[in-house]
Amino acid sequence: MSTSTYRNQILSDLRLEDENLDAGSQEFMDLAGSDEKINALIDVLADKKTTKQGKLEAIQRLNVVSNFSPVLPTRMPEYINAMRGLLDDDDKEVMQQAYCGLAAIKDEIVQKRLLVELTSNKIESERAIPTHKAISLLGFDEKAISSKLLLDIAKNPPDEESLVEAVRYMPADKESLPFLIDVMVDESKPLSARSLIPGIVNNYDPLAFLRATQKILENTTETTLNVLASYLAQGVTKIKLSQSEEQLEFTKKAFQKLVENKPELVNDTEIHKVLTDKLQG
Amino acid sequence: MSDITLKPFGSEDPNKAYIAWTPVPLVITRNSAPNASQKLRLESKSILGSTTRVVFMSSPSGQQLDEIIVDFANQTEITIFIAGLFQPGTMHNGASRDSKDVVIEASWLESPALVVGSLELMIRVRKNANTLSDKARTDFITALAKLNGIKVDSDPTPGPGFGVYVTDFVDMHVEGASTSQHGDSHFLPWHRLYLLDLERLLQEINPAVTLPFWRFDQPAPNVFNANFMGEVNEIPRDMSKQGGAFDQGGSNSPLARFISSNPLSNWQIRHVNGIRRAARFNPLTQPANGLTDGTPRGDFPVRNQNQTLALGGGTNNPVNAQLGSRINGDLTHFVRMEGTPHGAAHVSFNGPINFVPEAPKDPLFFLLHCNVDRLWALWQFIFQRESKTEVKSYPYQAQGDAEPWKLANATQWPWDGSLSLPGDLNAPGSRKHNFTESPTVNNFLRQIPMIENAIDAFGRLDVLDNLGFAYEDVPYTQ
Repeated sequence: MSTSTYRNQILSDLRLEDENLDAGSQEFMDLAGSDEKINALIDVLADKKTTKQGKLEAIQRLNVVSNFSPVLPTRMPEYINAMRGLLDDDDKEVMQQAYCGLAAIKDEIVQKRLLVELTSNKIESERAIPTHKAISLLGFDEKAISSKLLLDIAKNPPDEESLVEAVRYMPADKESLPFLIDVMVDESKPLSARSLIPGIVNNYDPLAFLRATQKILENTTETTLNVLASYLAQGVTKIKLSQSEEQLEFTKKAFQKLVENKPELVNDTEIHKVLTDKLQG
Repeated sequence: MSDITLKPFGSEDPNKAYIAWTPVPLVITRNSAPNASQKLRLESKSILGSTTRVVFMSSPSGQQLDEIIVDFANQTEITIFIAGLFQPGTMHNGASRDSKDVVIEASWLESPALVVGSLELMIRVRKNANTLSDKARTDFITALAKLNGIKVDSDPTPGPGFGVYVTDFVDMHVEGASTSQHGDSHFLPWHRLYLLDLERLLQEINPAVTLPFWRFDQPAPNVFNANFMGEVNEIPRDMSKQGGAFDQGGSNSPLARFISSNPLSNWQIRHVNGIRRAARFNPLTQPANGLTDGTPRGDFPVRNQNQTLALGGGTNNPVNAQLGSRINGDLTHFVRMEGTPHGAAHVSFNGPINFVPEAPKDPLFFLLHCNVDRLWALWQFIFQRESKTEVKSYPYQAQGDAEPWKLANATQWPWDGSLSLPGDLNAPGSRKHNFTESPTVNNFLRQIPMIENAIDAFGRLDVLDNLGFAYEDVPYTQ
């Protein structure tokens, strides 16, 4: 088929297509390009008489068109003010949407409020925003939450979700490393948190990772191993053997344990070659 | 040394033996002393069961030939042109699957059985992510992971989340730069350049890699799995339903799931692990379909390919097709596709991908935008809208037509080192005056692209404008 026939075929397929947008899409496009309509929606947010449904719909419509509206970026001060006004809304869903919308644009006021919430002595059920949610909202801005605060929360989390979020946003450093390793090897901690850690630790301190890996392989249960072993094997494959005799020794031991405990894993074609090379080395 | 050396782009470097649909020079050098044999035949041979073939031309606009005979009388070097043969209906329309799979063989006319020179090539084009071979998929995610900083080989890395993908490509698509990149006709060329800059970096790692495109108007079971871009939870399309609320930036969305041998399982943005993503459709069985708030005026679907191509206004008379612009606040013609399918595809998910300043934190962003760019390329091909000086191809030609950064000859942030608008951001990372250079095609002056550089991207009107990439379903025409 020539390229002109190919082109004509596509053109012919288009003949019946409507050049106009459907009504809903046209409505979103009109909103995106209209000062008047964007202002009106912001006014809806700022109006104390607006119903819960009206506020949620306005927030969601502004969220959607933020991806292609040339107008909304020029109305950010008004938008931010209106959203800040909803931070104390009587309705929890509206309030949480306001926290989300402002946190996503790294609003300093909402960041301060979230930090106050996280460091307060309130019990979890009394917090405006649950701890795990507050961590992820502050996570939009890497500078908004300190590693020390994350560590403090992770050491005494109000729930599993908060531990997972704290670990997810926690950088590995000399302060956090011992804690991260403790969680990784601790059978009582949730696997959703533990499975996040091998990569973090291995990247920061490969030898510490190998020591922890060996400990897990010696003491862990089948359930844990099923989840963690592949992460551990993957970590072991990335260790550079040239660094030290100790590291070589640990890598071999860790690999031997993997062979003993999860033979099907080391038969995985990708992992197998690397691990076998290390063992033979 | 063989009698004949075949040098694509005039080079013997095997990393330059990657071509696409656009004709590129092949320099043929005779290494032996002149003898009775003067006439050389070049022909294309597909290897490894592929159907990939090369065609030959005496000039970039010359007739495409299955074989060519060149005459070495009184000369030792001849330049011809070669291109991949576009074969509609075959796998990838005749492009290579994942490696060099076609050979040009040279033989003297008098001794046709004796091969006196050969060259292995890859017809390297951007392919549908859902139909990638295992090798192409692995090559892509490995190179992508490496740009993130994830350790995939013995090379030193800055560590997961600290590679150039993050320091440059995440940080250039941010709130303070949004107006420089969105909301009008410059949206398409700016993003074409953005994708190309990243793709060239991927190709520095592995020259066989191209950015794949996600056909968001089709189910993509081979994309949304743990081996590739990750398994995701499904949430309601309706934002008013339980679990369907719009989660801007994805702070409340679960992580996509990967098998541990997938390097993307180690994806980080700085020290933050994982990719939050939940879909408002079942990507294994359904196309992306935007969202709704449960009311007729709140329904925002993803336009499919034909519906998108029709937006330009040329369905009944191709002469009328135009890219369009923003007039009195409203987008017109083809650029309406920034709303749907583009915007609607983004908001078919909860996660960073549904929010411009966060979106590239999810690498799916680049597969989505590769499809947006492909739709533009396909529209340009159908309606022949590649002229960088015609308003139907790009509306803002002269000072006063639009804001300065949208003009066809405007240099683009961040590569030009200016401040973004209206955010006044400096160029992030290493991008200033540093658009990744191509080893084969012409590079931008001082590594700073202009909008007009993105318009005739395949060099249809001027072969010197060829940017060196192609799509499997967008052929080159003269």
